Amino acid sequence: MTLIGLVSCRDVFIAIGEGDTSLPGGASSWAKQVETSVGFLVGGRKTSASLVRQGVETYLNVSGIESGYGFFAPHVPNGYKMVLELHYNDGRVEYEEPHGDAIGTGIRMTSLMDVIGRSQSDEVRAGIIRLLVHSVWSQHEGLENIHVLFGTVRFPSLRDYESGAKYSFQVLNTYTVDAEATPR
Amino acid sequence: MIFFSVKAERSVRSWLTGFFFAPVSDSWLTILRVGLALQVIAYGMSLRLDWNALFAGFDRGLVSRQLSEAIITHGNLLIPRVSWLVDIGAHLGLGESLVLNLMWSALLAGGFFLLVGLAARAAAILVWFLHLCAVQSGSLLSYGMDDFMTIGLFYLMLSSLPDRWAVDHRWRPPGEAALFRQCFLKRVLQLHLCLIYFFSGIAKAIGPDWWTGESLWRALTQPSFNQIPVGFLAYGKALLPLAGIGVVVLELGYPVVIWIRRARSLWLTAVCVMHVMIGLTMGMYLFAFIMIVLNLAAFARGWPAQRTRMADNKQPAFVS
Repeated sequence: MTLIGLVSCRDVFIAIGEGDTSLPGGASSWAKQVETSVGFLVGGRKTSASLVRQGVETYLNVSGIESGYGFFAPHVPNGYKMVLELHYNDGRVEYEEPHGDAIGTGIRMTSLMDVIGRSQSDEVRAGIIRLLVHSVWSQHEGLENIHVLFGTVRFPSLRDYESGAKYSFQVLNTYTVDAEATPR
Repeated sequence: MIFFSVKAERSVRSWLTGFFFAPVSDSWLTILRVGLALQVIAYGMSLRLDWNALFAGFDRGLVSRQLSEAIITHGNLLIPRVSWLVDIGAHLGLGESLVLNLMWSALLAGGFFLLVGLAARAAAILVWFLHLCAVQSGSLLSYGMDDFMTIGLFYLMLSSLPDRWAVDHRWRPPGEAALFRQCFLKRVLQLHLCLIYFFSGIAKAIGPDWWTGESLWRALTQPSFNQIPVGFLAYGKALLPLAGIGVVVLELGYPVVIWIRRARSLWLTAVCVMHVMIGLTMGMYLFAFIMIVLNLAAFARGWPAQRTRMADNKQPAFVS
């Protein structure tokens, strides 16, 4: 119970620390300090130095309590989207979004896009995108290269929607993967 | 003074013992077992076509299994993962694809065994382990539902199966000690749910958007979730702030109101309706189902027939 409480607290403090709340500005820096301390206790610093810490991390993972419960909170963030521009040897261009065949994969791709979008590391982001592109590449014959557009999907607020605004796609990163760069 | 403190300590201890270790009906375990079995079967079926792509290694998967494992485990060798099974398979001369197919089949078979309650304890452990491997190795593509499934399966695995509706119960009924363990686990599950809803409610309440209905609007209009035409949502815009505040109040009030006997049914029904709406309006059917199963297992009343039978056996009164 203590671990569940600590992990949940950490998530709330992260949210306050990011400053997207109605709380006063001073709360943000205070929350960051508390989150660091709580994160240390529950292995949030991504280090598995000692056996005790590994034990705690393992218990958190096997019991399903390693993450908090702040779904869609304190606000609902923008979504992320990836568009693949498939350039064929014969000059054709097709557009596709990464997807699976199973009914349960759709929502998981949304999670994957969030992971890519929230990644602080350009290398990690590029690495995951390259792996995804490779899986798409293997399903198409005669490709010359794939141009990847990755960005945020912004849906207008209710007020903006009523004044005619539509959803927009803002490109954050572009990548081009050709046959030589694709792992075989 | 000392007399009073000893008396207080005794009464607290007696209350805690009664709270955590009083015999309870095993109906909660039946709900948990059957609910999780259906969840596991639906989970397996919903991923069948992509199972191998989700958990294959470098060059063969959607994203690599090893990358997910490296990110989630960050050097911790104790956390279960699909690569363990693939490595064991390799030692036995089995290819990765065959191992992944066997894993999926075992998961589904475990789900069916759980459903009827045949070798229920072994099936619960098997399903928990296989699902855990899948979650850790597919962490880049996992979402909240996976965590709640792990939580439910963890409690089920530790519980004193079989319950009286399981096939196993006919020839291997649980001992008396199991009845007391059932109560403890049920209490922990109840307290766990209280923490989940409380912190979920707090996280929503500290932002402005849930009070104005803006968060609900954004959640329901996200391209990946929207099941309701946007125009229809805009038409019912007056209800959005009410619904947003309703969600916050339901979640924040849960840890208190759910313990009030007279209000419990009302609150439990409202929370289940909320999850049904999440399922229908956002297409998150498995998420909705697992939350309803956990709630019903933790707080729904036991079957009347069981109460009578237990009363006939002169067991202590039920605590729910």
